[in-house]
Amino acid sequence: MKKLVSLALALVMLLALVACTKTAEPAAPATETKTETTEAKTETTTASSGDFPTKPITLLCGYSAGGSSDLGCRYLAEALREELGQPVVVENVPGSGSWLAWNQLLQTTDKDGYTFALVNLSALYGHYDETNPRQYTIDDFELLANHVIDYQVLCIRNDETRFSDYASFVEYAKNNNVIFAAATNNITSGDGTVAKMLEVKHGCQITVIPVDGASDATTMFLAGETDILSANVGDVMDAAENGYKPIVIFAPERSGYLPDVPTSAETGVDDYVSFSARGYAYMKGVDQKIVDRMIEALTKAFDNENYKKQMAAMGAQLELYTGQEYKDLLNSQLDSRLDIWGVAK
Amino acid sequence: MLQNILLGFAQLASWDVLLALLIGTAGGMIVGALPGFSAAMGVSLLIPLTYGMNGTAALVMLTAMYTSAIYGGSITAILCHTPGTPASAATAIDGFQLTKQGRGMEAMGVATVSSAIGGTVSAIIMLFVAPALGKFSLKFSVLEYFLLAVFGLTVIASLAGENIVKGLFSGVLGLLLGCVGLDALAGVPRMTMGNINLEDGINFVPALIGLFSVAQVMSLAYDVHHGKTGSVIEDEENLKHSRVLPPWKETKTLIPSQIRSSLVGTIVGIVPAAGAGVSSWICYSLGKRFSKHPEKFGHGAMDGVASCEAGNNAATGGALIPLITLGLPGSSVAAILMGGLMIHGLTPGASMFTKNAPTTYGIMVGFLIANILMGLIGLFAARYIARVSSAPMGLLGPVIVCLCCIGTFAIRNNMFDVLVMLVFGLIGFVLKRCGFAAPPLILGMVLSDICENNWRRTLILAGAKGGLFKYFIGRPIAIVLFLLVLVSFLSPIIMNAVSKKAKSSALEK
Repeated sequence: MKKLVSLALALVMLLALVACTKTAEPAAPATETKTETTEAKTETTTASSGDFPTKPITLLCGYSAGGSSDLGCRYLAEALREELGQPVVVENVPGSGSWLAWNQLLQTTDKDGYTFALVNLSALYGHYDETNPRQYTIDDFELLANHVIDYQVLCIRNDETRFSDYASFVEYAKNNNVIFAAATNNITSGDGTVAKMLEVKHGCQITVIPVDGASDATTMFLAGETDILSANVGDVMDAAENGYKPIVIFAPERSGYLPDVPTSAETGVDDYVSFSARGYAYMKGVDQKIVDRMIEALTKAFDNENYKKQMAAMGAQLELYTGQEYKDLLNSQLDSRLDIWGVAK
Repeated sequence: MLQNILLGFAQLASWDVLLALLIGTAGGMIVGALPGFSAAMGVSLLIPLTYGMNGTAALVMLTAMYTSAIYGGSITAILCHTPGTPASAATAIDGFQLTKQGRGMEAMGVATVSSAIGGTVSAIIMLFVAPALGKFSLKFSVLEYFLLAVFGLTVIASLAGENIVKGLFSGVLGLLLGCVGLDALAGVPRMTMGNINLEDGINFVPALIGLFSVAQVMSLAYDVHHGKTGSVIEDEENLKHSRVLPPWKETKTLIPSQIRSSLVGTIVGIVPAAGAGVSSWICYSLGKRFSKHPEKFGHGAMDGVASCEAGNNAATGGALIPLITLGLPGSSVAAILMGGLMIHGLTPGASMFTKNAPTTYGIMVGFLIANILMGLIGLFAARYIARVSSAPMGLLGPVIVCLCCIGTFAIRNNMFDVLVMLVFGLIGFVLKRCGFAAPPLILGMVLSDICENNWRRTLILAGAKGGLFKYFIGRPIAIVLFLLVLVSFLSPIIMNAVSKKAKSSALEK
């Protein structure tokens, strides 16, 4: 009897597990994809790129499930499935600022076009980070298309009396030490680079406190621990509700989400532009026909009404760049950052 | 206010919301009970399912999942010494001892009731004073996080087990292991041996699973090999006439622990850097300090189970407060919930209590009911689930190890984590054989990051604000925390001296 009960229990436990993996489908398909990639080796030689894709496609996301990067991937996977007629499976491989996912893409994945990855600026600038340089550069990726550009802003609290706009802030910071929170103080961090720019270009006195992420920076800023908040547009959508306001956006044009905030050029202080960008890429060496097919499908997926609505709800600024245009965009931001940090390319 | 709360109840009176509540609660228990499947994972997996729902139903399901998963973790912690989530690691200490004594079902009953009380108290606090408490979370900053972590470290003394020196060694080893990975402030890799998988540090959940579950299975296997009986329970006699709750006389004595842990847990949950894990350790240690029989802790104390279970579920409600009122997530789960709010067009902040008040109160009332529902389901199920403890070891062990491997792999889809888990299983086994306690090691690993990073941030910040002392005396909460640390650190020494004096004077007479 005892044995029977325990057997039944073990069965229940297994069933529970199965049930869990069912709901967990998007996050735990790794085992499936593994077998698929080995199959792919034999298939690529026979399958012509004309009828690509003939089986599910994997999208590597280097961030945990539930975050904004992951949600973006999942929305895209849905839109892309409609374009390609094959399921697109998001595989989360978080760790080391997404480098686990990119290493997997560049080192061990077949170049058959059935695996692509989410890439952001860290993938392209990591090589120039002097404290922990990465092996790969922008040239190791086959860039497909960029879809989100999130420009940087500076914000002040509503009750701030020492400065009221970008010009008066820069004047104040020239003579007074300003405390500024940034996630990692190096070239890969947009906030860190804004702080460095203020120091190098305007002679401001900035004390940078490295924090874990955007929400920590906001907490310290609202508590009055830091003097100014450097963030991305997507992080400050709720600024008005929580008692602070953006004073400048480091973008060539005003943002649709913050129509009242002047660009840096409009303030007359400088014409600095800084942003974080999210897009998608293959590794080098994928058949050009497949690359073209994928760019075409991505471009169409970005135009999907449902997708656009979902991305807008997250406050994402959608701007499409493909191929060479995409590369130029990233290189121009890279040059600007290398210049500020005084690093040779 | 009252009108809003009634409106919240009205929001719940629809089939889709009630169904969402049930799915969230029941699903949470299963996810929580599986080692490696944490609350964060459960919530993030549910998010895609909520796309088509209305805001209230979606958020009620997600928050129900959150609290219920934190409770579910205690089921396997008590019965198999396998904490389903990091938040129930402290529960495993006394809970498993009780199971060994054949009182696993009672321990589960106590854990269920305590979790429900903790969650309910925090939900009530959230319903009535959320906006005011949200502001309170802003009073905590890097210095306070650091002091809170130091306070947590003083807990090691109460976890050390038989030998205080060995306990301290485990704690220090934990602190050292917590230093592995990228230096959070300078970005330099430390002790990673060039392995990119170690850059984020030793992943905490696999280490925990290894130290607790795998090590436990190994030592049970060792016992079986040396001719002991093939099941977890030492005292079969107790099991035969066991019940879901201890006699009222004993249950009654747990109430102070439950209330204290509920309040402390809610406050710790509000602090942005802490969370359910830290809360359960702090509440466990306070439970021991205030207990009438502290010597029972570690050997199967019911109030040990009650303290940490009320504490970790109270922290879930606490973490929701700064999230809803200020858009500041206090834990990793809260950060994912924030994504859930945004998807449904709810921007955290002041508008949650004006424009979106009906939805907000619907969510908060739903969270309250989820905690009660969780208690009811738990009490009903305890009778059946507790039988796991009478399963023969030869069957249970492999199933546990299997689940551990799957759960660990699923965290990051990474085989390296499975390796980490197995290595820590071996470390845990060796430590256990040599009489070193594992809990201080876990605590050291949890707190190492919070301690170091926030202390270094404090130094930078204080340097820019006119020196550490000047900064410190301007912060009342920091002063209170500092005094608490001092009391916690010095009280055993003073107590020792006092009792020695009393003894010697008694001898003289």
